[in-house]
Amino acid sequence: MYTTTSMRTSEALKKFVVFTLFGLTAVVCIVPFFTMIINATHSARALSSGVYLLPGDMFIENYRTLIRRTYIWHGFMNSATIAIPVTVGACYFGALTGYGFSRFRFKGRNILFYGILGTIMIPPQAALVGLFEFARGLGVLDTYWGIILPGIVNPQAVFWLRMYTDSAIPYSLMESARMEGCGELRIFHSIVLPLLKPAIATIAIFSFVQIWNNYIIPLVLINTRRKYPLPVQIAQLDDVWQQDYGAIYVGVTISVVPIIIVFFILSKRIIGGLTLGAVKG
Amino acid sequence: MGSKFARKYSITGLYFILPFLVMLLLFRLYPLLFTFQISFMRWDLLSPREFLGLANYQRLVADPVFLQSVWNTFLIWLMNVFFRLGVALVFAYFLSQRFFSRSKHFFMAVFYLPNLITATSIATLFAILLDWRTGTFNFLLIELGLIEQPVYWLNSAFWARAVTAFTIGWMWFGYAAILLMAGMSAISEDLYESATIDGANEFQKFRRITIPLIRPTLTYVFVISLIGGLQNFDIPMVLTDGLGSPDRSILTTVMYLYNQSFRNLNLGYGAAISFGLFAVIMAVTAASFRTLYGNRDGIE
Repeated sequence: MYTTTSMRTSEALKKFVVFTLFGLTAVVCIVPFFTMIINATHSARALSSGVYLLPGDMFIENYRTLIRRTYIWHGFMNSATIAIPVTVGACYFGALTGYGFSRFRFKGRNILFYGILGTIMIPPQAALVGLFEFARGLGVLDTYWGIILPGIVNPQAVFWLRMYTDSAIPYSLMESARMEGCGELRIFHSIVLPLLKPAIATIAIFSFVQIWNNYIIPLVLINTRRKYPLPVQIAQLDDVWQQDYGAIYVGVTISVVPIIIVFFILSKRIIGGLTLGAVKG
Repeated sequence: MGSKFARKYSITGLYFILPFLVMLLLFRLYPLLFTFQISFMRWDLLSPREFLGLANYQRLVADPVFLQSVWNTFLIWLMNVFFRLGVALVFAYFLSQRFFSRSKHFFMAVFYLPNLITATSIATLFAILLDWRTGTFNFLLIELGLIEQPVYWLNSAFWARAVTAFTIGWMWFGYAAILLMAGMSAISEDLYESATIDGANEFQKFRRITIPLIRPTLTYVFVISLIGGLQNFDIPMVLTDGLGSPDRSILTTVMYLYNQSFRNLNLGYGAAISFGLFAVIMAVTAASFRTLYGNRDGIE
């Protein structure tokens, strides 16, 4: 009797300690974003004199200051202009290639597959100078081509979609479609692609996030302020507004809040997708 | 049947992968090889390229700024990796316990959140929160009575590195915790039960069962952190003036590569830095896989 009670107490104590630890860590994760939103509603002068826990009434003012001299919404549109084609392309070619590797035997299949996998190890920065000169030679500097085209080449997508095709697409489906005289490309488009949807959805999220957050490549390839995507616009807020921190907080808020909202809608899928690369990779 | 199927469709498969292969060669490998070629040249965009042989590489291995940038990059990684993996390991352990079933997803989501946010947004946010005169962080510490005078965090070499390391650790510990937790959940319950019958306590079970069995995941998370850590750019770039001030304390290798190539227009030298970095990443990755996996093979 004594043992069970003490065990129950120690169990409860352990639970309490763990929950406190987790709660405090959760606060550390959220507080910077909370402070960001609160500070976005206070004037720069007010911010330089203390800490605020409640929102103020300067948000509109700060916002006006922000958009007067920055291209924050341009940045948003530019990021979308880059991220959408990259995501669509990475998913489509990832599926096409992954399916090709999964369902067909051809000479050099394994060497090519592992060769593609190996390119994951190449740090993107290693090719920066060459990419810059390549884009310059083609006359596409200061356009999004130099970001979009290399972005579409996503070896991880090929890897994941091959693995998924291996396990989820029955051969019998393709066989019966072939019996009906269906062409190979049509089998892929109208039978396989719809079946790959769950995997594609996960890959789409990660490829979108990756390209949306990219900083160094647009920094190198784009040189007109109006054309910069959001991460570059945000990184330069400090240069534009030496001291007007209220406006900078608004700018950062505009870049962060949409991500938080999307994350809480898709969090199950995103967290589930995280282990995709690790389990087999 | 199988071989007939294979022969019949052998060419078709190549058609499916051909577009990707062409794009990979054109947009990924060609720029890489081109960078390699440029690394043997002197080039400032304006005057014609001049072949230098190995001069850029000779300069590289003797360049104190490059060596310092490698050291800084390594140090910033070192300052956060054990902290990050330690926290992640403890959190993963508790998350995989049964009593967390209900709030598990909530905590995982919150811990993972910073990882999704644009790094430049986080760095901008932290830079203004930590501002010397007007930053909220200093006011908070003063109100709590922890400091009396505002601290100029980003003007001290130690604190600048610590802030960079903390920010990266903060962004990535949730990711590590989730992967480690997935690894732990895959361990069979039977192992723990028989260990309990044999009289093992919680810590012994953790050390003797959990750690060895999640070793592949641990290796993966470690190597990913190392590769990412060596490519460190966004956060130190935005936290400082782009030069890694003060005293180049947070000048990372990629920042140096960027500055040499695109600020000073030494593209040839910048390309050599790229391949220096590439070589370091390859060597370090191979070495860490070897130590982490090699040991285990030795035991078995």
